[in-house]
Amino acid sequence: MNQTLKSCLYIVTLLAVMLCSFECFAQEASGRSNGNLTKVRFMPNWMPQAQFAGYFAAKELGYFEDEGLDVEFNFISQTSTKNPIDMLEQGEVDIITNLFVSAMVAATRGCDIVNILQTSQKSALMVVSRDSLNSLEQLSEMNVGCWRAGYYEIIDLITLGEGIFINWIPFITGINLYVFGAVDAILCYSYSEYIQLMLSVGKIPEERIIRMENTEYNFPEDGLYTSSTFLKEHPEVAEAFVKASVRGWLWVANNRDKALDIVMDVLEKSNVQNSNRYFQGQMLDEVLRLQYDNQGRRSFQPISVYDYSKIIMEFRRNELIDRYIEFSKMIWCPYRKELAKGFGYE
Amino acid sequence: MSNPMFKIKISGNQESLGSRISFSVLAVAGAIFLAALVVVMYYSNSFLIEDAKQNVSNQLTIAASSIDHNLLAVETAIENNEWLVMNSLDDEEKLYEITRKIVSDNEEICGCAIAFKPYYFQRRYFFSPYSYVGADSLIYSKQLGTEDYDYQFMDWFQIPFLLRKPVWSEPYFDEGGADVVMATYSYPLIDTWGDVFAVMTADYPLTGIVDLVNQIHPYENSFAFLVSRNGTYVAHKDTSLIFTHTVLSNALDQGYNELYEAGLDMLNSGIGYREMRMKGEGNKYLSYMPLHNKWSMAIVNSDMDVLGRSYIMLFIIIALMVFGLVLLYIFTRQSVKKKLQPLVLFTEAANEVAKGDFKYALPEVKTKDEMRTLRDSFAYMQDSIVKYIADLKETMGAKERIESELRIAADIQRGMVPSVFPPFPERNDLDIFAVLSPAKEVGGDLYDYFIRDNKFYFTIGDVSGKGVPAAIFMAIARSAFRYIGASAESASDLMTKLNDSISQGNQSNMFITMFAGILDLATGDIQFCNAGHNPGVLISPDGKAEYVEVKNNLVVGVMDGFPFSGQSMKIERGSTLLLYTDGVTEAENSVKELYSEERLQAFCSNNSFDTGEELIGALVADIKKFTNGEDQNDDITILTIKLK
Repeated sequence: MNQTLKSCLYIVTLLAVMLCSFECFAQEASGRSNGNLTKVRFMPNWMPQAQFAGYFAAKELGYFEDEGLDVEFNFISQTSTKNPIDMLEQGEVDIITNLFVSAMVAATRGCDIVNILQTSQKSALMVVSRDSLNSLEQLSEMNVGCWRAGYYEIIDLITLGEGIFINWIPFITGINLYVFGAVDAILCYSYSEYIQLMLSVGKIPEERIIRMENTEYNFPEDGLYTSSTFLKEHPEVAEAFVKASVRGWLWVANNRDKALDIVMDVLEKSNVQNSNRYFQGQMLDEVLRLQYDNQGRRSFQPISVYDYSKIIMEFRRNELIDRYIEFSKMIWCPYRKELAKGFGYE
Repeated sequence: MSNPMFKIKISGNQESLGSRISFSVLAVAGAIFLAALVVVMYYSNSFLIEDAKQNVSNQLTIAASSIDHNLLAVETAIENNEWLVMNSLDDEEKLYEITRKIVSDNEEICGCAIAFKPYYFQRRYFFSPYSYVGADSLIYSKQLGTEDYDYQFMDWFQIPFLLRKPVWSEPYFDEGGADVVMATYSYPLIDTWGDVFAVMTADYPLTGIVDLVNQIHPYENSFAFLVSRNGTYVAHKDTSLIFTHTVLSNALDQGYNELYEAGLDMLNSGIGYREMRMKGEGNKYLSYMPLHNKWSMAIVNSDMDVLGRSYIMLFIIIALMVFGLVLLYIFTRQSVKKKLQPLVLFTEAANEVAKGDFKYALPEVKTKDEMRTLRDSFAYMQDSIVKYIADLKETMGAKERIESELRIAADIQRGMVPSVFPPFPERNDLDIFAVLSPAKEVGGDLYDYFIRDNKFYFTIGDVSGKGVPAAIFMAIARSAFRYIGASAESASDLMTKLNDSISQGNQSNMFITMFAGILDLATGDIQFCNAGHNPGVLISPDGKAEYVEVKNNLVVGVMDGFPFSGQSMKIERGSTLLLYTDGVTEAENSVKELYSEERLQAFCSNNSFDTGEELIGALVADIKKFTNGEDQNDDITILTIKLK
């Protein structure tokens, strides 16, 4: 009896363990499915703002759901030390946005990261000086403010590429170093700090500005990334995410005011207080401008092999990377033709 | 008998005249009032704006001084303890004690830190003793720097560290702490080598300053606002702007250009006063002044605040002006109506005069003005009309007599030319028809004919001039034609004798153009003589019409003894000779175009008639059609002779 009871208990326990295991496995294997939708953990590389309007629109308008996705947004805070690339590497999130160069350098250091969509076709970085500035060489010996995290690869490249010493002053709170006169210049984004500066000190003369898009450091920036592991297991999820994102961005480009409504709604729900619609509108305009390629067309095409090779060579030449990542391993874009047509949403 | 169509009605016109004069006076008075009002309002508003500017400036100065006083108190509290810190750099506990003491001794300070640069204090990466007032009003102390809070990258540390001078931070909301808006005063500590090694700070709640700013109300609708060094709103009546907008972003968002310009000046620590046009909010007046920490405070007044009294005054003045203008209109209208009252009496008088009562008594006018002049003119006109009518009656009588005599003369003249057709009904080889249509009652044209010895004597003529003299001359010529024709041997003989007869004793210098001829009814031979007259038209039996070629003899009556030369021709039976005076070819239409000899010839060629009567009837109709109702300006005479 005891033996029988023990056997029964053993079978029940075994079945329970198997059932739990199957549940867990099933949930893991389906990419954390929620009903009929596949759950995706998405992390933009900054706090909620118009920089990510296309993704907000895709979520709000149900484009992700149309593609069978339940996308969960994970934002970072201004003072957070969380890095989306680290989060992706640690498997905390499935898809992130990041700068192309940051992702590439991370990949050369062994990080499992793959570009699945390029939303920005040119560099938004710019140097704004307190005095007139004709070339990057003039930054020599200057105190130049820069974000403490985010684009240190470019900072290193500029320093080594120009062969000058720049006293980079990292900051984590924005433009006040420049406003208070604590630095000679500031390296900032055209869609963010530059607009903040103009709303704090007024219009800045062009002769005090160098835009990276006009220099040899014009590297494409924002794009979508995931890990090759995720891609191997859920290629259809990655493609669905890309498709919904492109659809969202195209809608935003054609519906500026409505897109801003969505952005402001996300800001409010995320308790982002120190912003306003005018600023977000200016940011959105600039982010949309950065989506135009050199031929003046809005493009989501990945970087070309030629440009990729140039960037790799530039970083290799300055010994900022010591490995070469194959183009096909860095860029995943099996939907190039469909992408060129905006997946039919243009 | 009076004609009702011309009865004068002055009452309606008098009303409109009075109104027009009144409105004219009103318009001029209104324009003067308006101009005076504009000038008064301009200066009044200028004074009020200047007064408001001064008032607001005073309030700004007082408020700014008060805020600066508070800020300076915080700064002094930190700076006074600098020496204490410098003397306690190796004593951790002492440094904590200093921060606690600063917080406890200065109630306006809610937190104090001494943040050392990394690895300076006892080679620790972080060392920043910090004391603060907790939610329970007790003072707590802690180490500020942690892995999650690397203060060396915070503005409050970084900016004074780099600038090597004290600064006030941008305002921030102390979330999780005192839950109030705060600013931090940061004071760099510099060692003997001149390097900044730490930053002393004092956290200062801005609640008092915000309350002070919110309480500034120089006028009912005015408000004050405060912006930080980078333009962020710290205090504003619209709380949604606080920490979300800068003064520049708000200006750009709302499209307020003047606010943008003022904002730039505020960010550069400027002092100013500007007028701003706000959509849907009227004009605003912005006064601003910098604070000690390079923030800027401003007061906004609406134009209703500043110019409200002026608007009330404007309303009262306009009300009085309208009332005065209405009174002026009524007075002017009544006055004009009274002054124009005699015109009504004059109207009655005019109506009576029009009815024929030329002696109707005019109204008395006692004033010595234009109305008196009008009355005198009216009386003069009345006398003139009486006299004129008398003259007219006399003239009309004379005219009627003359017209009667003229009618008789016309009858006599018409009786002098043959007017019964056919004139020779017993003859079937001759068709004669003629018309004489004088331009006036009597004319100078003539035609005549008679038969002697189976020969048909005929003539047509046109006396120079018109009217009675021409008619008398025509009568003389016609009589002479009859008398001389009775014995003349040829047409030239007839014309020569006729000319001699008329020319002798012709004192009037009148003359006559004549065409005379003798048609042998048996042979169709014609002797004719033309004395300056229009050549006749010979219409052949086949319908062909041609002018008769004539010699250019002198006209009749100019010179006696002139030998007229005659001509002869032969006409076929069935031919018609059409003779006419220049009234036919010189008949004019409305554009002064002549009927012309060409048109006459064409008419004769293009039309075929059996009798002279038909021919002349059609020709007269054609001339009337051509002149299209224009007055006949010359006698028209046509004579047709058809040999059958």
